[in-house]
Amino acid sequence: MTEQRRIVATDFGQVHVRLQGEGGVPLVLLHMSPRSSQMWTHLQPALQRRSIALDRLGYGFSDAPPRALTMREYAATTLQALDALDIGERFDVLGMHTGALEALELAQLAPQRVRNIGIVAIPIFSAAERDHGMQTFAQMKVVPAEDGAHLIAAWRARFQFRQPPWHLSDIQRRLVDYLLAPYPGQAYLAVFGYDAAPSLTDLQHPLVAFVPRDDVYDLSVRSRVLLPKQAVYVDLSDCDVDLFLTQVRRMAALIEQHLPPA
Amino acid sequence: MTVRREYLDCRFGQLHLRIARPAMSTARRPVVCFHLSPVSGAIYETLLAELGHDRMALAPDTPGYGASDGPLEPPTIGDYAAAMGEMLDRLALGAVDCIGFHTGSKIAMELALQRPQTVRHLLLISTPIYTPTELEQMRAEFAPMEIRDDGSHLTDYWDELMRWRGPGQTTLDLMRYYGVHVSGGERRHFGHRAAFLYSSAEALPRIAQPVLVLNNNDDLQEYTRRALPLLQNGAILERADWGHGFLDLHAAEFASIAREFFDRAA
Repeated sequence: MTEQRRIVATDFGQVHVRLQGEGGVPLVLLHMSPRSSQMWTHLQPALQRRSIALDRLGYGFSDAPPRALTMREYAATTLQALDALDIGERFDVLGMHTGALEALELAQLAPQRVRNIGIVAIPIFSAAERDHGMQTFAQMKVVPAEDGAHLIAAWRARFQFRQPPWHLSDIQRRLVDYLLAPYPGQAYLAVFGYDAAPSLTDLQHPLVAFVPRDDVYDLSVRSRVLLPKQAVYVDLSDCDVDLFLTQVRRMAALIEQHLPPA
Repeated sequence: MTVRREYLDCRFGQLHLRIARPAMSTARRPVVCFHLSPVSGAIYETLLAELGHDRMALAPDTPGYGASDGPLEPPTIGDYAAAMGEMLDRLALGAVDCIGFHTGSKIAMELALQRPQTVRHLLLISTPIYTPTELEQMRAEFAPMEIRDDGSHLTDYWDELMRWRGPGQTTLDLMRYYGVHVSGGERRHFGHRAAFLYSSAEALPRIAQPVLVLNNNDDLQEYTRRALPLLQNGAILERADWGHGFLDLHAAEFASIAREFFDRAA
């Protein structure tokens, strides 16, 4: 089945969604920042089930929200979008970085509707790190220079945490995601305003934590001691931040194993 | 006026469009706006909000641009126009007026020829008429995007936008559409390719509907003046004080020009 895209209304703006596949409990895919549902376009066709990848408000082809939203509001928006899509009562959720935090909030907001949860590289911050993130990542904005230096800086930033050989067309897609966002750092206001530790520990749902060796590895390994007893920790230290680009078949198999569609 | 977005199906897959609907029903014809390459209907968002006060106004993303699906093989302007005709059928709009910008002007012209009973007025932002030699040069310039590892492809596009920056247009204004400007990927050049294979010089004399050409102070100003003798039922409005970015900077004034023209008896 080819990708089907939808635009659905929520309280804070219209959300752009990519749907693929049929059957099984739907899998909701929540992207990292400052990316979009585009990051899941390699994975989605490899899944033997229905999957739904949403652009967070302010990213991709979703509307910019009227103000900065909290993680709870992002999760509530996702829930509204899923209801507008009429995907059914129960779903699984898989999120990376920002998306992993949003997945926890989604489970807290609608505990009966979320079945299994997958978190990829969930960052666990100290209070000081959250303060620092608010002053740095959350201030990420494009400040144009007449000579285009801002574009070269943005381009170079897309190479960070990666090794050659470069996948130039994917770097270009990541750059486009960054440039499509009117305020690329906006979701980080929610990220650094959110303490994942208590949500994670209290979680009652089946949970799998995938931990690749990416840019937040030092933060996400901290999740190991916070995981609830039913959780499974999957060390992916041979993978990097692009695991949904370069390890598609492996990730599809791991999702099938830990977040089974039936 | 709120601008909403939606998808509908056309021959190239899903077509993404922006649409503003007036609060009260109106007998005025809807206005359909076609964008220039290689951006998207986003450039019309401010204008749609203006026009939407007294008539339906919509702007599709041309197939392959913005959030619309696109063809895998290079289409012609005729193909784009046919897809737009399918959009009109799906929306069951009846008669419409059209606005086109550069490549979008050609789509509007072709749609007017394909559907003479449906398209009632054409407001064209630039209608460049090229000599065969110029056309060859233009075609050579619009090759597929070459992504370079030093990022210089990005500054090349930026320099071009800076070179043709319109009066009052800031670098922040340029950034507003820059993301979509470079988002087309391997097929980003399809729109320009189609535009430069389409002859406005052949199309314009066949168009019987009223045409108003807006000639701004931009990269197509000189070429657009050549259209005057080809217009059967039209005029050129010179606006040397406007250039790229005018759709945001002068949306209200442009909307009033459009209204006055569209509401004139045909």
